[in-house]
Amino acid sequence: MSGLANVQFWAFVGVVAGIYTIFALGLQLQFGFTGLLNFGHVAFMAIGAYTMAILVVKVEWPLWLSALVAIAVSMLFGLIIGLPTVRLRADYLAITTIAFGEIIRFIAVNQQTLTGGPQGTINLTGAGRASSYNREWLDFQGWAQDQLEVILGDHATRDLTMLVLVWIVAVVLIVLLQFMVHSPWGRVLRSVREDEDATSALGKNVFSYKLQALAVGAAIGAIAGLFFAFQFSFFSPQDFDPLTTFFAYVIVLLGGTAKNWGVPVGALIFAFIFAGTRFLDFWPLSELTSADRAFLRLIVVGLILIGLMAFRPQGIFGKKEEMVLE
Amino acid sequence: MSVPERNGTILELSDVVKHFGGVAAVAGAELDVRRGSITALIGPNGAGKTTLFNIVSGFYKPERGVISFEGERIDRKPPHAIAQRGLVRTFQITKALTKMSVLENMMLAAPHQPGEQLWRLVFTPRSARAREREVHEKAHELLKLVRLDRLAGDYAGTLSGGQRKLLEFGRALMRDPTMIMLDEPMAGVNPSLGLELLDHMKRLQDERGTTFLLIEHDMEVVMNVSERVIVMNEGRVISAGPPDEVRRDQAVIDAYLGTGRGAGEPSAPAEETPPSEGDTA
Repeated sequence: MSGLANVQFWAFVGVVAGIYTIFALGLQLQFGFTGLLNFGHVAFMAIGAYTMAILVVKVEWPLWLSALVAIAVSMLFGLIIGLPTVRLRADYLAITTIAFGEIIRFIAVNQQTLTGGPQGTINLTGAGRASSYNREWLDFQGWAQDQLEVILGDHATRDLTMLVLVWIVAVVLIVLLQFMVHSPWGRVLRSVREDEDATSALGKNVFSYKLQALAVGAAIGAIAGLFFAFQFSFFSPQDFDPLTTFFAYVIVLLGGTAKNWGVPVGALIFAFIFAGTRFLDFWPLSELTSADRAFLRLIVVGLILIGLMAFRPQGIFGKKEEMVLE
Repeated sequence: MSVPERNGTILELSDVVKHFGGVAAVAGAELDVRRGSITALIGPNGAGKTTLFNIVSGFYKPERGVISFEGERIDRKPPHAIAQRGLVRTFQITKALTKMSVLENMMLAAPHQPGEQLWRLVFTPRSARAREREVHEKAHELLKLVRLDRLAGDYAGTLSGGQRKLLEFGRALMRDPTMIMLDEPMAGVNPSLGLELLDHMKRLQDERGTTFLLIEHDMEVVMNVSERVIVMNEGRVISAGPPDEVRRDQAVIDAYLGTGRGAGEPSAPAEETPPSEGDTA
């Protein structure tokens, strides 16, 4: 149980929670506020990460420019997938977006010259030559770590610096989204979620607002993808399987649908459960191999989701009275 | 009346057709609504009144026919574009935005809110805030009118059926429409408040020249408030004119009392009151 007290380990868990927070915030806007059942959200994360990596390694653009373009490309894909599908009924939208997510992943697997293929971005410049998109980021992170050392001294490690950076971005995004959903713009989004016909009867272009929600959510998903890429110095298509999108749904539901501040809480709980299962090494679980125990976390997440739906369907921050309104 | 052009036509439909499967819900409807009038659209259940509303407001595309509003064709326009032109409708089965407050329901409807566009929200936040204050004030005024001001902060989902009708009416007024189509606005509303709403409709008609087209089953309301009555049956307009003339029209009496009803009439619960003997005599 020694790992429980390991600061580095929990800093890592906190970074993962921060990345998941950003990722799930995009879904919160699309699903929680606008009612769009997007089951392919992971694709935006993949597009963000891959576009950045490809631009840095193959086109040799500066990291910051590549990151901005990656966000823009992800938004563009949000519009492209939205144009034909957003008019569909919720369940059909869910099916087509799952397919979209899988298409992006399969492209990443198969277009080896573009993406490095199944081995991931380490193969971006071809097999045998390990390529990295991360140099400029590590420079920046080193600089940030120096600043942090002024305050924290020796405690300012690489992981802790990443933790601070990820959560600064996460909190800025939450504050921004909080402002947006309570603006007149966000009022139209929430109205689309409640009733599309009523919204269009009151002169609002429902189609356009759905596309906007999809595009803004895609941008946020891409930002999560960037941090994912920065945290792990390379990544591969299997990091973007459909399960990742479902995790984001678990986080949104845990925290509370349409509650921005519920997202970080949901993400923290989720990340701690996920990482925490490694400490379930007491009997009788100690009879299992560590690989088998790793799968316990999926069972635990499933059980928590079932319990949540049964006893607190509105999530941690949700309001019970909203669940019964028709 | 100070409002000019009171007798021009504001809405005109010719030869409008819409089928559902094999049933012609609207089968070549022709009608016109005069600017600044209060016009009632009546007819037995399944006559095609609500379908016609859905066609005019852009929710259904007609298979044939021309619809013009203020001289411009709107039959290929989407619902929001029609609402933006000043033609607003309410729904027979109310569509409250249940998880939003009553006040938010009202404020959403307001036109010309620059804050509804992201880029203007970012670059001209002040104009959005200024407009928001106006909208807020207007919403409160109208909520007082429909007697929902004390419920402004409540979820719209907690309102009763009648209160939701009132909310829909108030929401439509938020848009400052030139014409409002009301689908059974009085259903479930208490009668004395209903009379106040009718008074308010007349006031809007007088002061702003607002045009009203309403589907209504309460014949007393229809005969008292409307200057013109349009009667539909089996997807067609079978009569139109001042209330006194229409109630004496044999085709109308037949439609309501059952003679001449075709097999195409879908069965529906009989919730309406046909014109009483006194009315039709």
